[in-house]
Amino acid sequence: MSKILILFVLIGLLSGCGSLGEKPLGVKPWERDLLAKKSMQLDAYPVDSALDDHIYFSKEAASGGRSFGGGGCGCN
Amino acid sequence: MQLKKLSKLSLALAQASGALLSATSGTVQAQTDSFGWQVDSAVLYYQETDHRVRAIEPVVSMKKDFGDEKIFNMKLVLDSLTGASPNGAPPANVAQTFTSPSGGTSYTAAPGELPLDETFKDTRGAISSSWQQPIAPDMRLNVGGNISAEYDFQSVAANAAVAKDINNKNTTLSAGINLEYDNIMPVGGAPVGLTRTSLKLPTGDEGEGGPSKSKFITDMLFGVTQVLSRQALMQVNYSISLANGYQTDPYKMLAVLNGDVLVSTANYLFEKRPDSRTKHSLYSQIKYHFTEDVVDLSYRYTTDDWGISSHTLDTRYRFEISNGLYVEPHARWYKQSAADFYKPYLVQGTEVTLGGVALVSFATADSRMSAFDATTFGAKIGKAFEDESEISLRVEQYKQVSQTKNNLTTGDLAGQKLVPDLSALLVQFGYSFRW
Repeated sequence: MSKILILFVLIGLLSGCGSLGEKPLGVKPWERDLLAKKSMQLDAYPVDSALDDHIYFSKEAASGGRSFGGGGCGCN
Repeated sequence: MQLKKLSKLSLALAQASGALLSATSGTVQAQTDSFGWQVDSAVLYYQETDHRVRAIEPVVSMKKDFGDEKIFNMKLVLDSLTGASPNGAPPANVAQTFTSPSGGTSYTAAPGELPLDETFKDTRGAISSSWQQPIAPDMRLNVGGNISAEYDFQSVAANAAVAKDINNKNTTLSAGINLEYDNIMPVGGAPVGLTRTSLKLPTGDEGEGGPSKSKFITDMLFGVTQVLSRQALMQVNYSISLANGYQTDPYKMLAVLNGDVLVSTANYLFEKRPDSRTKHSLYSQIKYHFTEDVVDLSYRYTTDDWGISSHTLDTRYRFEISNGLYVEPHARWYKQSAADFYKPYLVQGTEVTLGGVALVSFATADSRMSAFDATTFGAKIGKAFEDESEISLRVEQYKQVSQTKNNLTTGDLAGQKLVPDLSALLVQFGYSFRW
C-alpha cells in the first residue's frame, strides 16, 4: 500500500505540469479561475464530508486525516 | 418652453439619479449577497441490513462572510439512532441468552444469529461554531468549539488553527490543535473490565446511566496545500491524536470457549481496552480540473499503538452535464488490521481460568477492532442554480467484509462466521442557499 502513496506523489508532481524545472510550482493570480470554483475546493461539500466522517468514525477504527479526527460521539 | 425644457431636464436628472440610485443599490445588493448567510442543509438516512442500526441525521450549517477574510460558521446536527448493536459475542450453533446493560431485561440470540443488544437507541445533538480572521499578512487564525450530548455521553471540544500563505499564495502551511473532553455515563454503570457479566449487579436504571467515566483527547494537525497548476492542487496532512482515559465499550462482552464448547452465558466477560491510545495519520489529496469535469483522489494511512493500521483510498469524479447539473460517482476502499488485543472469543485455560478470571490484560471482541475490508460505492446528483442555491441527492452502499477466520471445525462455533459482514444503505438529501 505504501506504493499507492508513492504513486500519489508522482501523480501530483506530474499533474503539476511538465514545466517543473522552468518555473516555480504554482500559478499567477489571473490563472486562478478554475481553482476558485466551488467544485475545486479541497472540501467542496463540508456537510457531506462531516456526515461521512461521522459514519466511518462509528464503524471503523481509523478516523480523521482530512481534518481533526471526528469524535464528540459515544458511538465508538 | 422654458418650463418644458426644465421639466425635461428634471425628468432626465430624475432618470439619471434613479439609474444611479438603482446602480448603487445594485452594488449594495450585491455586497449584501456576498456578505449574507450561506446555508447548507442536509438530511442523512442510514440503514444497516438485518435490522441493525438505523440513523436519521439532519444538519444545518450556516456561514457568514464579513469580508476581509473574516468568516463565522455555525453548525447544528441531530442524530437519531434506533435498532440493534452487536454485543461482541459471536453467532453460535446454540442459543445464547444475555442480560441487558441495566440488568432489567434479557434477550436471546437463536442458533446462527448474531447476538444483538436490542435496547440500542439514542438521540444525539451537537452544536459547533468557528471564527476565522487574518492575524498577519497572508496569515489566518481559526478558532472553534464543539459541544454534543447523548443520554449516556457528553463531549466538549475547543480548537485553534493557523494557516500561512507563501509562494504567491500557491502554498499554504497550516497547523492546528483540538482538545476534547468526553464524559461517559454507561447505562447500568460502567462494568469492571474482564469480569464475568453475571457478577454485575443490576441497577434497573434504563435511562440515565451510572457513575461517569471520562477521557481526554489531544489532536494536532500539520498540513501543506500546494497549487500545482491552473488545473491542479494537492494537500498533504500529518496528524497525531493522543487519547487518555476510559476507552472501553461498556456494552460489549466476550464469549468464553472451553475446548470447542461455549461456556454458559453467565460466564461471558466484559471487554477492556487500554486507557491510552496514540494514533498517527498521513493524508494526501489531489484535485484535478479537466475541461469541465473534476476528479478528486485521496489516500490515507493510519497507524496506532493498539496495533491497528489502515489504508483508505477514496475517489470521486464530477461530470458536469449542463447548466449546473452534475453527477458524481464515488468509490472508497478501506482496509484495517486488528487491534493486538482483539479476540473473537476468549479461550478457557490460556486466556481465562476455569473460575472465570481473565489471564489477559486487555481484550475486545468489538468487530470495529477486528481486521476487515470495507467498500463504499455510490453517486451524487446535484443541480446548482444561478442564485447560488443547490439541491442534491446522494445514494451510497457501504459494505464490511470480515477478515477474522474461524478455525473451529467442531463444537458450538463450528461453521459460524465469527464476525458477520455488514451492509448499509446511505441516502442524503441536500439543499444549500443564500439567505
